[in-house]
Amino acid sequence: MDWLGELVSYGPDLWVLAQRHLFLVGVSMGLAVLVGVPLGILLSRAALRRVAEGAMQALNVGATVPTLAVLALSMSVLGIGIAPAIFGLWLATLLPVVRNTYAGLAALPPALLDAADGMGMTGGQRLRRVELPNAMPVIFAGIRTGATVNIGTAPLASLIGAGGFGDLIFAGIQLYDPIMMLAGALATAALALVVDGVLASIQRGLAAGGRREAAGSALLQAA
Amino acid sequence: MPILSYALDNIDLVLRLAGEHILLVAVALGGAVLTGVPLGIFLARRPALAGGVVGVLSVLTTVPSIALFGLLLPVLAVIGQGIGPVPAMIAVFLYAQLPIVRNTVTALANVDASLKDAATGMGMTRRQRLRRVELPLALPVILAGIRTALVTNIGVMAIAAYVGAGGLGVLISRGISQSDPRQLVVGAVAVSILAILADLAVLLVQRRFAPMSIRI
Amino acid sequence: MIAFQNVTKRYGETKAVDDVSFDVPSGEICVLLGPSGCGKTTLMRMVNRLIPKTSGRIEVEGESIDDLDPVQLRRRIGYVIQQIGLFPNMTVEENIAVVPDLLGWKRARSRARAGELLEMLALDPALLSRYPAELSGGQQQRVGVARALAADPPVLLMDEPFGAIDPVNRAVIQEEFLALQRRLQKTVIFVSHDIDEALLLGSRIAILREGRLVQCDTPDVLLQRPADPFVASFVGEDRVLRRLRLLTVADALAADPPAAPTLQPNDRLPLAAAMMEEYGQNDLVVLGEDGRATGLVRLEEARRQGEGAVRDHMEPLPDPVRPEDDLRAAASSMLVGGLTAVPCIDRNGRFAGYVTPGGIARALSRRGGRRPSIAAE
Repeated sequence: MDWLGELVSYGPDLWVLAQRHLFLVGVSMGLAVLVGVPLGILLSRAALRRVAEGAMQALNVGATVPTLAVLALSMSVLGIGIAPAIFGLWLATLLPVVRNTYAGLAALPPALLDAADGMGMTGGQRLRRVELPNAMPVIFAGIRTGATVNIGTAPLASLIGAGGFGDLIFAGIQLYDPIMMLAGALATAALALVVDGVLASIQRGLAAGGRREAAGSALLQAA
Repeated sequence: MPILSYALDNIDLVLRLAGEHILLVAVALGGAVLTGVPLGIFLARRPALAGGVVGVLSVLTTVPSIALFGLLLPVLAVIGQGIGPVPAMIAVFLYAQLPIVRNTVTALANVDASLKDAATGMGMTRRQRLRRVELPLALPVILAGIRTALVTNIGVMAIAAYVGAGGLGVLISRGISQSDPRQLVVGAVAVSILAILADLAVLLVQRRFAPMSIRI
Repeated sequence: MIAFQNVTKRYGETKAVDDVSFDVPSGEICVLLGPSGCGKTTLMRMVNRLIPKTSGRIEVEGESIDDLDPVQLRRRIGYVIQQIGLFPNMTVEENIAVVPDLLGWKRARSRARAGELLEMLALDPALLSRYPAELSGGQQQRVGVARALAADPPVLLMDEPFGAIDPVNRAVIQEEFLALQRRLQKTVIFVSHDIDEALLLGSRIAILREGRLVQCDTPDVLLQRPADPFVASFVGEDRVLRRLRLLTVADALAADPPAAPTLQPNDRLPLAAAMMEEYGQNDLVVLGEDGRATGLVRLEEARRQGEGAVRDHMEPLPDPVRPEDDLRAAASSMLVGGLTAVPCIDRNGRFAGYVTPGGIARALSRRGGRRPSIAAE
């Protein structure tokens, strides 16, 4: 059980790395949501519908670009350190958030919007009371996908000098120290599973609410 | 343009690495299709089991690829394959299962019940119904799963350069470690182009296999 | 022929079909009719073993369905469903050729058969290479019927096959199907919840309620003598009017003794008025020299004019009714034209008699009147 003791000995290191790792994830994730959701809303407005389809296609192509490439390109422009890492993570996370926000809003049944307009809601009221609540499950699914991409990419930030759990993994590979690598890998995997689990349970809650909303809109359509 | 001239000067290297990249992904993904589709067909008739398997696969997929390499490395080191193409291909094989299995199950489950009823009522055996009706109708969605798997795993394979798998990731990793933006950018752009082209290629196949028929 | 003997289907405690026995003779359309949940679809689906029966016996063409492999059985039975169920991944031709293919027909033969069937269903052969999504609803449903007929099965099962089509097209496709059935003489089980459709298509109608067979009779008997209040209410309070559709002008003429006075163009009006009063009619037909009906004189006109020849005071015949028309058409002429005796003119233009209220009443009162049905022709 030597290696287990060795693994545990990484505890203090892990704590320091975790703070950095969570900082990278938290800031880039938060910024992606803060920018991505409004951007998606903006693209879904009638005035921008024509631009939106083109923008979506560009985003779809963007989403196929591997995240390592995104980080590498970010580094080639911004150099090494925390800023290029956060920028790269933010960009990679942004795409699914924008895409789903737009798609969720664009896919709402027209009868729902028509009913809202017919009852005399203003554009803002319609968005807040009808569109966003009904599109929320789809928007949140985008946030969850973004989180998976973000957390999957975050260890690579270590490559461009931003630190985090990646430090242990890559150093472990380079030094061929399996225990060091395992410590980093386990921490990364555990973080990914915990965050995804939390988001999944929030999503289930939203989906349950969404079903009620969907039932409501079905009734509306029937009438 | 030092970057462009680097790319042109080293075009042989870039093409060789791209070829390596494609081969690694193709073999791993091919294996994933050959196992994932039959698994999906098997699970489509067993919804409870399907839920469990898809759940496990999606948990697996949340594990970041570099962490998965890290976890596989000590295990595979036992057979002397901790570093190199084997962990990369195993990772790609595993990551590809989720979109392929999930889409196969969903697509088969979503085939209109009245079509299945008509097929059975006309005297098709289960196998005939699967082959003539259900699979052709499910094909576009299954292909969409393969497309997702392909694009994701071209990215995963780039990261696999760090565990010695080869491929275009080599340029990126060298670019970073040698602080050489030329290699870095050429590698990043090349792998992006590869992913975009692969995405387009499967999209075309998908269009081809979804004649207007499916839009009923 | 299809025979049901004490057929029962249980789901747990509930009996979806409860001890049902009846026969569908060869060449007849038997409509299974009833409200939703009455077991009609379940009963039909037990014939091709899509639903296993709990007990009882079902025979198709003299063989118990239990003695046959379900897959082989189904290939011998045409199957049409409301959702149509055309396979969207196959062309029209491929859809029609499904069962022939399953039966191992040569490709050329099944293709030729597909073309033949499209023609039979009055569809453009150019549709063969189209996909179902490119067809209108009515076309799709016709292809659905063609597909069921592809291997020329003696028996057809049809589950509300025209239910999803708009009323106008439904009427057209129902007539077409009847005409086709007159040629093909299939034994058909047809599930419907629409009494009008059942009366139009059914050689006989089996009414089900809560899994039990309440009555199985010809449409006319069903309307005339419903077995119980449930059937009576199901066939409708206006069942007398519905029966008018089942009876023909010829039925009314046969029921009314052929005292059918007519006028000549040279007859004088007072004679005409006197004849009308004698026969209790307010109109009389005028026949020309060749015996063809040329016009009509009304009692009020004859009285008002007093004198003169019939030829100068007759009016043209209203749209005449024909012996093969149903009595609803005759009754409607009666009301529209304000006539108490509607002249019936045969195909050759000869006067065949009057349809009168008395004649209609007597035709309706005859027991178990025949139906102008497929089987009768």
